[in-house]
Amino acid sequence: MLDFRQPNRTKQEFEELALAHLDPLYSAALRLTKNERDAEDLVQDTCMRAYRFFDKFERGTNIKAWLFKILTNTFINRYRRKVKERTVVEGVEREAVHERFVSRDATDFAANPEQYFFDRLLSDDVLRAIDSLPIDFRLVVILADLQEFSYKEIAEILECPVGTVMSRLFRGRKLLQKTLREYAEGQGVFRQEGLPSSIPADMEEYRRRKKTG
Amino acid sequence: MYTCKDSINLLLEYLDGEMTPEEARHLKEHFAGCRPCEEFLSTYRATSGMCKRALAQRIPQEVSAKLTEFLRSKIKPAS
Repeated sequence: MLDFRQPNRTKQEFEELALAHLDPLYSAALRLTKNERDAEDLVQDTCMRAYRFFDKFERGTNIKAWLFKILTNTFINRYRRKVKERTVVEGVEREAVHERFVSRDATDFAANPEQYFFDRLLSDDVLRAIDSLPIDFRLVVILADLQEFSYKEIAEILECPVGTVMSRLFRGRKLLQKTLREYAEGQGVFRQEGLPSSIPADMEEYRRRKKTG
Repeated sequence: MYTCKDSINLLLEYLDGEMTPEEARHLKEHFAGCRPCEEFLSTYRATSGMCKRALAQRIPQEVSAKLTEFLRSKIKPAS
């Protein structure tokens, strides 16, 4: 509870607790809004709201999760006005059901695909891929991969079941994986290795070819 | 024996270690014998790690200072 007899203590407590999280709040806001100005506004609004509702915060519980709940709610409320991107989300979600693989034979890649993948993509590419994710997936990826919140914490922040968090994270990462692979192909990573980069195959096709080929 | 679809669907539980040893063994068997799935697994793992690295950005010093100053001015103690 806000104790008005000790207002300075509340102010100080809020400053200590909330301002310590400016960094993570800002980097998440940046990936949500996709530009610095809006990110700054979002963090500012978040902190103002957090202060206004600080008496609702249960001392001793996770302040970071609480702040992120305010951040995502503030963002979603603003975001809801933009119906356009929503429509895109549904389209991508349907499409995401089909896994696509690129057939490849480079021994280099086969030996250590993870390293191979890393080496050829820049952080900017990864950020571009994250930015292109539909918002529901982007939110979960940011909360899980950037902030390292647990599934349970994310479920509380987003007010949805843990199962939904898990499936969104999984699908979000799969979409990222696909996008990054496309970037890698676009940069000629696969072509340089003499790979048939223009022949992406989905699982069914892959298996069919394996059987007949 | 798991199909590719089963394996991909079980991947998250597998990576989180939330699987019975029996299930994990079946899945490993499938991955070992299935190149597209094995590749999917490794790039999926890589994707998560790449995100972590790319996303870790610090707030610019001047933005942090500006925000802190603004908030301090706003959160005056109730009088």
